[in-house]
Amino acid sequence: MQPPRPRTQREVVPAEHPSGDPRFALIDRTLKRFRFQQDALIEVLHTAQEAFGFLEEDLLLYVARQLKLPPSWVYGVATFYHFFSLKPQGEHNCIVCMGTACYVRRAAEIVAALQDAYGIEAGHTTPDGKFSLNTARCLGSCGLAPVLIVDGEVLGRETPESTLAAVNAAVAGMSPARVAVTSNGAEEEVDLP
Amino acid sequence: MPDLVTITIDEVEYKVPAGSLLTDAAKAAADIDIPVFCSHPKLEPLGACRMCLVEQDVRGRWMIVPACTTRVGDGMKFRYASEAATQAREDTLEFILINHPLDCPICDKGGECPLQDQTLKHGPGESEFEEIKTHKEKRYPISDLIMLDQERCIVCWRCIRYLEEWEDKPQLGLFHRGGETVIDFFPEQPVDAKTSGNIIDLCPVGALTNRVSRFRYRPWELKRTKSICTHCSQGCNVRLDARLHQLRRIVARENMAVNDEWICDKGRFFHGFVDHAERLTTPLVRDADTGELREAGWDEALGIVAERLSSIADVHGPGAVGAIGSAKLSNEAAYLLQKLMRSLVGSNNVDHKGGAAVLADPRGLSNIRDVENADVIVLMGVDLAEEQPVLDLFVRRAVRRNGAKLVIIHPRRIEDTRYGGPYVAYKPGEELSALDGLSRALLKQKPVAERAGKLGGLPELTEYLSGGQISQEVAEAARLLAGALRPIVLYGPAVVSGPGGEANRAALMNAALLAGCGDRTFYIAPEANSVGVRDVGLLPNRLPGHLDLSDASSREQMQRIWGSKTPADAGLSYDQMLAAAAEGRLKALYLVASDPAADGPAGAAAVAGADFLVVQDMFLTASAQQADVVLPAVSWAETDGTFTNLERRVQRAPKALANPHSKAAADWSILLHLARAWPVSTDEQPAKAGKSRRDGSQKGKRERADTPKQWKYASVQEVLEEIGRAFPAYAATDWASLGEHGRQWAADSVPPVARRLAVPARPARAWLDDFPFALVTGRLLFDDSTLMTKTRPASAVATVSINPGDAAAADVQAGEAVLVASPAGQLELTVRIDDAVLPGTLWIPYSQADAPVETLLSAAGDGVGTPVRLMSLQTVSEKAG
Repeated sequence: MQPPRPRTQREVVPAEHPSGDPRFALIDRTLKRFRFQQDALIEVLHTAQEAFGFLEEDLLLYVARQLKLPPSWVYGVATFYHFFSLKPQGEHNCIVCMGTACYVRRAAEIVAALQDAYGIEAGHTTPDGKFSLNTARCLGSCGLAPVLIVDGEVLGRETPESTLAAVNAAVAGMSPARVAVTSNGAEEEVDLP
Repeated sequence: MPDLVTITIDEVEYKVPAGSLLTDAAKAAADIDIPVFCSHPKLEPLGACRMCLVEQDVRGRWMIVPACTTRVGDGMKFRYASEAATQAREDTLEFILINHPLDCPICDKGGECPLQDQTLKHGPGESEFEEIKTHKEKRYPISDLIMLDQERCIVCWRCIRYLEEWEDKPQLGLFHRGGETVIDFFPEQPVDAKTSGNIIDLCPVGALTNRVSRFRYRPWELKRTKSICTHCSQGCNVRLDARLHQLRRIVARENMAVNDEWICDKGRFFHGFVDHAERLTTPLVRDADTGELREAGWDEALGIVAERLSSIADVHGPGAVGAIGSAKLSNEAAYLLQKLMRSLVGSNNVDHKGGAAVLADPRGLSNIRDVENADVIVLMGVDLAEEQPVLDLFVRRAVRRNGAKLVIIHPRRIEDTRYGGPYVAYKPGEELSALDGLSRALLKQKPVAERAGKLGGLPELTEYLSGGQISQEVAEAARLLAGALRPIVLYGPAVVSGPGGEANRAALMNAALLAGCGDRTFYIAPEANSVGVRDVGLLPNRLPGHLDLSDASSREQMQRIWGSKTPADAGLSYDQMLAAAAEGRLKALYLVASDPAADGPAGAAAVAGADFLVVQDMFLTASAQQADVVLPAVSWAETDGTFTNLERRVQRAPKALANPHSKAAADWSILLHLARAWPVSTDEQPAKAGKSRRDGSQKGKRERADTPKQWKYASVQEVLEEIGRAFPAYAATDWASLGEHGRQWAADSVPPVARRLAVPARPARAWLDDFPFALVTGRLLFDDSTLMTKTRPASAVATVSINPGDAAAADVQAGEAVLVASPAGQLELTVRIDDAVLPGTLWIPYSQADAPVETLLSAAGDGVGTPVRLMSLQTVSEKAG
């Protein structure tokens, strides 16, 4: 991708977002930390996604305007990276690694089991907004294949049954990790990537 | 000239310019066409498609590199035809084709598609891919004019790069990743760049297609004619593609001097008027019994026109006949119209809208591409983004590539103000103050003060300019101009029109001389042939070649060509003719490609007031509906003609098609036949003694037995030759030597504008308390003029734009109906709130459907400085009630 070109447009940059939503202050803080540099776009989008849960169009436009980048560029970056979500995410989520090692160790069956159990396709959220199922290219923990992340906890050497148990527990409000370890019988602590 | 270096391609050594791209070097030196998709000579190298892979010797190892981003250096060794390189290209093509649909038989690009050609030449022949192709959007409009087929797209970035590098409107982007990558725009922000259609020409596959033309042709069936566009004065080179007597498509044609390879969307998409069902196909005459227009033959129609015009000239004097042409006429048609009026009618009553009322500099711009080399560009009263989108591309290029600074002096915050250069605002009618302010600020700059000493008239000017404030923006503009090496000033017709035109031009010249660019101050003509129709004398006070009518030797010069005397008194201008016709002083009005009745009450009164009205046009316009005789004309695409663009470049527009079912004729041909039908007056007969005259077969009618030699033209090319005799600057521009890219006539063929400082004579202008706003008007690219509305539906509402602050003060909301009134008239319009409109002004563009802004102007040439007021309709009805 070509480096963004500094723009000379005269635009009034508002001191704060007109909506007064305090979450914009978090974005503004990141913007200031990177001195509104255009190559800080990914960091700013990270902050925005953390603050809002997903990147809606207004949010992307706000970031584009603040960094003086064309909206199409910002949208291009937001759609390129799997981490960024343009749709509202469920309260709980599961990201299944579909990298080569995990795929060989039948990650697809885990995805299929979750799809059946929750009635959604990968990349979607249940209608009640409780649970989102996503897949990733590679989580970089091939030694633990098949690996997945439930609500931020990395679980390794999963089976469809153990995953379902962990996800059910998470959706029910319990910690998935504890359940996962017991259900899997594995003793070792999982390293976060 | 860059140094030559030696490179080796396939064991053969070549001398190529250092630093050139390998693709270009291989083509130029070795005649090797390295296949490319993403690479394009007009765009920056990117290396996205990998189609151009070759082998390069890197420290003894042969590596695969892309040729389109590799700049050659001395001693570099490449292999193009090697097995590895060929295999790499084949593999790339196989990958490109994995998801490309096999819909060539229904694809607009099929037959002229680089992907098809490369596949035949470099492809592996068959695919190893057995999986299902990825499916994406096949009918995805990215604007009202362009359709995207995401499946056909091979992600070469050309469209993205064009919009970014040339338009500076990066509205398209690449979204998602890998095999799912698509070209798209940010949600709800479709492409609206004024030259967006160029991405269709750039697209190397059929992903981007023309929504106007798609599915209306197969490329191999088209008859292709190299022509020019006649929507504005740029004169962009285009190719007219016709099939079955219809204009199916317009594409850009390269002319580096004029339009590079770009045309605007108006030129590309808005040609529907050519094949329109409402085109006039036969002459019409008003039936004496029914009072209705009825179809007639050419002989009858032209006979009536010739007989009535000559008899009115006989009875009421030649001054009772007037002709109004148009700046869209070809040189030949305009020349014959004024020749007919001057030599047969004997009247100088010949003009066009924006003719005598505008103090246009006949020399126009020096060279279009000079704009790119300027370091400071001043735009005075001209909105290039709307009026000349292709010229604006070059201005943007100068700003973005060469770091030129843009100084904008305009009564509206136009689009180009986004470049952040100094913006000097003024109210229309106060151009003089703005320009004087600039001169005042320039005099404060040290380099200017030194230069100004050498110019005559400095003390008077200094005294005239003394006192007065200098705003920050004006001071900044003066600072930039004083330090500029190659400044250039472009000004539009609005600056030199109307009562203040003379003073504005003097003030503009003062500022330009002080800034050291007196000889780089250029008039930007508005219409396709604004320059040409002036050159050939379509003006009431000028003969062809800009010769002064009052000069006896000039008139004699024309007499030698025309064979008859030219009247010495200046004729009536456009506005004067309209007024005279409305008052009944002008008995006969001959309108050619002109429709005053659509331009508000003054034009309507003129059309209604003329005893005998002839309208020569393509459509039954508002004026034509009231005509006594309507002569059907053809469009520029259906006849040969030449047009002179804003840089004096005379260009050919050859006949591209003809409707076999239509009796409409070319303007020049109609005028020619009208002259041949002209009755011979008795005092002309002795001059014709040498020729035998047939006895009048019809008693009482004076009829020409044969065509006088002054009206014998076998073709339009002969008319052009005669123009060359009337205006020697055109002698070098005969049809053959014009070629495909036209020729400029020499700027020194006309006397230069005086280059001395002068105190402008400030015209008296009273602002009226009752009318607190100043009217700003101007042209939009996509307006509702006749030719546009015949191509697409007119805009739903005519609007008046107002500054948000003024809207609040006047208590009007967006979308509200209001009454805008001036001392001359009033219009009902819908409010648009726009912060590009300055406080204290109202913006109403020209050519809005059913709401001609001319209604508000006291005279058509007086588009500047009209005071207006705005009232909400509710208030009006309350007052009435």
